[in-house]
Amino acid sequence: MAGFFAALKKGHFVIYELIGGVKTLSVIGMCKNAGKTTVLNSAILECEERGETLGLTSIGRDGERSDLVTNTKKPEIFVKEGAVIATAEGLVPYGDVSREILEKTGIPTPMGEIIIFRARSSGFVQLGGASTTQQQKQLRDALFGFGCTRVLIDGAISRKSLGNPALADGVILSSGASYDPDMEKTAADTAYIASLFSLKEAGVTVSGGTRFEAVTERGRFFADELNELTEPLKAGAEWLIMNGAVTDMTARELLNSAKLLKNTRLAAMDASRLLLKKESFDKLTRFTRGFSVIKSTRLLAVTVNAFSAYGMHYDADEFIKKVRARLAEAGVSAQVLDVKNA
Amino acid sequence: MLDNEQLQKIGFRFVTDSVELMTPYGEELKRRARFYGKGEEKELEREQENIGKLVRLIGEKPEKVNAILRLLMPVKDIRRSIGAIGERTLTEVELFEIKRFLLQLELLAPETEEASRALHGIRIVPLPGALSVIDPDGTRSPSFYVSDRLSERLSEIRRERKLLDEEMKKYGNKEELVIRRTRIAAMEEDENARVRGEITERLVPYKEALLENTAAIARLDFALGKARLAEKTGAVMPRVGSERFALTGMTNPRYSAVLSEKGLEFMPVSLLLERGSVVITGANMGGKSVAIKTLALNVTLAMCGYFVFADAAELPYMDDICMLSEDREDVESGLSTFGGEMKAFDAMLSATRNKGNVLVLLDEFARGTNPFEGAKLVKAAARLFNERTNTFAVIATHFDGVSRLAKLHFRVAGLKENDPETLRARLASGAGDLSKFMDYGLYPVPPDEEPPRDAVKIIKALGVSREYTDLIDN
Repeated sequence: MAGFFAALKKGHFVIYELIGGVKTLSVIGMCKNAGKTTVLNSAILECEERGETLGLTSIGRDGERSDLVTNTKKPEIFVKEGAVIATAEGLVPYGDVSREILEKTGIPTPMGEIIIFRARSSGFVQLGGASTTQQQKQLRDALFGFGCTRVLIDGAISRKSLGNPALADGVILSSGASYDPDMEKTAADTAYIASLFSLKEAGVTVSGGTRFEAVTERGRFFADELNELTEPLKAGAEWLIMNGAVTDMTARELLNSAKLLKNTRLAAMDASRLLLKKESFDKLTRFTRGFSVIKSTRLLAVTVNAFSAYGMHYDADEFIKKVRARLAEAGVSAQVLDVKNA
Repeated sequence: MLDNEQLQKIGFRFVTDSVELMTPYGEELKRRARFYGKGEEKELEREQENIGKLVRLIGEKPEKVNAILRLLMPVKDIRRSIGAIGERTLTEVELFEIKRFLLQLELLAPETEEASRALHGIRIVPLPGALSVIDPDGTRSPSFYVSDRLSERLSEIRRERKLLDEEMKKYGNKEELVIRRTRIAAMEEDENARVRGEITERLVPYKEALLENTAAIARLDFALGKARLAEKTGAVMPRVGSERFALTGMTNPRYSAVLSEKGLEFMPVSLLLERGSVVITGANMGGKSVAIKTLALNVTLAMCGYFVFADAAELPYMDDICMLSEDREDVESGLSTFGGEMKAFDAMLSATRNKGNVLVLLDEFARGTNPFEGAKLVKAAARLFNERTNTFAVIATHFDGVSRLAKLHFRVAGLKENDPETLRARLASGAGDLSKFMDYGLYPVPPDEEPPRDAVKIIKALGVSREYTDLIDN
């Protein structure tokens, strides 16, 4: 909380420049205490200073109740009068803002139904949101419906799903020393996730609802099992589109057919569907003509936090340099900011 | 009442699924479908009258009905919030729900007033007094905020809080300010709760009226749903409580839907019942089973307060309905089909012994045993029901000799073409499947007229190999 009030005084307008025309912004943390909330609070402050009406929600936080109770150090979200909040009813008592109840959404969460209220004073709010993309869209649209000029989404810890481009048109990725005591690993993994969020759009359309779709000169072929596509792949497919989650299991399937895929480009629906380890991703990239996505994500920035909640702090300068270096190696051009300056 | 599986089979679920409702209250009434029982005759009559009047309203003023439907659509189930009034302090969200509901009543009441004057037990009453408790500023906005007007102290705290915000903007996170901020936020929360307690207290006198409104909305929604279906399908009001038991021109939407997919039409069924046993005979594939299920559907609909799918229907007040049908299986209890059927029959006999009027439907009862004994079993059942004055039994069978014991005997006409060779030629020429050549109509015939001998004809028409059919006639 003290950290928040410190930020209040500084009046830096760093994030505002970054998020400029982005109407729906997601902030995603690589882990707990990555500094995501600091980023959100700065974004809120900077937008409100400019007279914006903000809408706020988060991605479902099932199973995080104990964290809420025990982790009292964690700064909360602070809003000004006028902000519109979509959160679980059970989380309302954790905040201290005065509320005007606007809507009961019917979306259930383990912390109660999601309600929407308008802040009638400044104060703290605790965000909890919907877990399905459909519900998240419903909430985002409702927030705009209540007159919000911009919607900020708090990405629940370690959930990359809210990078979902269907939902947000810009993403900030937050990483920090709490991720792993080994700075090298944290930097490498951060660069990997950032590289997924930076994948280019394939520029092909998806026609079928099957798991796999092969685009060849002779037309399109659809199948739920990869081995059903052996023939068209043998003849040489330009694209193999994967309509659904791409996991390490999927990677193994694909690598078994690596010979057939050496001239094929792979396409996932969007970065949030790429749920595979870096090793699997790298291998696939090597054995094929690489990955694209059908719908790309706009990675606006990566933030770093050298402070570890577990006591294994990094050297701040070294950390930011390392992350920049890894990002450059991965071909990611996003800015890197230290949350201390956010 | 039939069990869920039977309700599914006879097409009752198909019909209730077609009843579109706008509110969770109406949905709940639909789910709780049951026979109107003894002492509820008046209620059933009122429900039927309501549906009849709403059917007329749909025809005469469709735009009025659409306006009501639009107002019903956003109504949510808030009975838990209403239930908490007088029990504990309501939360902001609960007060929000009640305010919304009160605002909905303000709109629904005038829109439904004219209709509700003609209807029984469907009056939606606005509660402006309750609304002014929740919304003292009279904003009528569809949101809820504990108004400053309700507490001098609350408005004082809020003013102070705003001033503190200004101070913090100037001086930042001075510890003294942070502590004051925390304290004042807690004070507001406490005062907010106290005021909500007062609001809740002042809502107590309206609790019953709120609940009565949810009940009125439920009845309106459900009756309107049934009326819309009746209007769309031409279902008619049955006369329940008559001495006669006669349903003419019955149809069954579930079977009609299946048949129309094949380009076929459902042949309407008419039946006249008497106390005791009525027997339906007819060839295999002849539609006896469909006739039984169609009767079961329409009687169940009538007794549950729906309109029926028939040209006309009158029936005595029925207490219960039981059905044993050919697709009954008792795999779980480990009994053979026959054993299971007999046990179920026995259970049915005891269950219906001391009831009011009961409709008993037996579809190919005892078919699992040899024809000689089977006929004896069915005849005994027919005699038993003839002795019971509370029972209307309908027995579909192709066993010989049963119909002689019947009070009334109906026959499914069966094959229209008598010569199997002609029939076979026409089937072979692609004139359609066998059902095109069947007359599924039910016709009253003398009790001693034996079942038709269509089986062999059908086998021949189907073109079963001569190696076999030649031997049948010898």
